[in-house]
Amino acid sequence: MKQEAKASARGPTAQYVTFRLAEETYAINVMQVQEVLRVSEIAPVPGAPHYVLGIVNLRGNVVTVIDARRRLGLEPREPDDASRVVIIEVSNQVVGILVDSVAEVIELGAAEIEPAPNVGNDESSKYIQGVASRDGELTIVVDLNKLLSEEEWAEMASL
Amino acid sequence: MNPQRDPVLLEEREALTRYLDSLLQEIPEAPQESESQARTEMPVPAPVKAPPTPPVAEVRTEVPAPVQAPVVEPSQAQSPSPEVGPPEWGRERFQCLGLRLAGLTLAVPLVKLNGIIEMPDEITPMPGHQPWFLGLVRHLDRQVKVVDIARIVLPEGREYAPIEARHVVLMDDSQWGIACEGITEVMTLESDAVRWRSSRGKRPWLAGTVIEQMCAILDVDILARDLATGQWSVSTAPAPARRR
Repeated sequence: MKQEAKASARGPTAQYVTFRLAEETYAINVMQVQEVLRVSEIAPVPGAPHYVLGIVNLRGNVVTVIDARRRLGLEPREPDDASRVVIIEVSNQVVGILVDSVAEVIELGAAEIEPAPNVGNDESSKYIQGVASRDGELTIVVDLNKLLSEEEWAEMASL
Repeated sequence: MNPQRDPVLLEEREALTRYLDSLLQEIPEAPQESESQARTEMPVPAPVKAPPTPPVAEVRTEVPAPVQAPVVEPSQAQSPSPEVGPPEWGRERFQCLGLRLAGLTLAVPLVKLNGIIEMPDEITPMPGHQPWFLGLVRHLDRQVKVVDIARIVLPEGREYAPIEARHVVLMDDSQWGIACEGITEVMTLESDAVRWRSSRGKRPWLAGTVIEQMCAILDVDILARDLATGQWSVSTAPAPARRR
């Protein structure tokens, strides 16, 4: 009974893949994650947006890789052994995002994710779905559907 | 005493005086005689009569309720608008807490404070936000949005330098936290001792100034509203790292 009540209080749950960026923990819905790769050779694409690192060959398919740090306005840094490319599918497009490291898969209830702070009405922060507190630390939940605007997704498809 | 500190102190005082002067420039000139009359009839309480300053070591406790705190109607608190003259809490004698940040002293009415916490070792920055939004801290199961308002209140021409925040002053139902370098004292002020803004102009968050204490009084309701929606033109210098 207690477990049912607890589950009810959490609301509908979903699983999230967590990764680290600049010493903070981020989470994305596991249903949008296809696989996680070690960083291999990334071929730069001339004229691409600043947050696009380049393209990789994934079993014969060309996949565009986005630098999550640059996209989120964080200080860029060179990949290291812990860096990973998370292959995600958004808006019927498959792209990779470079992150500092991949941590774990967690389960979050809808009620555990508090809305993103409304500060300054910044357009650039619309991709933050909310924040969840776990073990005394805050995890930033990213809405991948809003990571790029429609125009940016279209530009990504044309690379 | 180190004699080399004197020029620095003079410089700080001069800068503060200029700042307060610049704030007052937006106030229509009051008749000289009424100003002097007000000063004569309503002197600011002497420092010795002021309540003792809360020791820094005990700042985790909630701020005590002020003496003779005026009642604020919830409807007015929820939809603040820049008023002409004193806000409701400033129409009688009221108490303020002094905050130090970026070389300035700002006063926040106690009736609008929710508490003071030490600056936590870790603060969670949120990507893609304005530089004055330092991030989130967890306090009593709430997420407090911590802001560095020095970027907003610094006078024009004065270069911003990231503050070394030691405390966070909670306001607006603990939704917001003002990062500050220090807490100075609790001041008991008579309403007539404050030069209330007659129009809010460029600084709607400024309720008034107190020349005797050399400080500006914040209108917390307006500040909280503007923090949520504001688009200030502020310094873009990077925020300091908060992890220690």
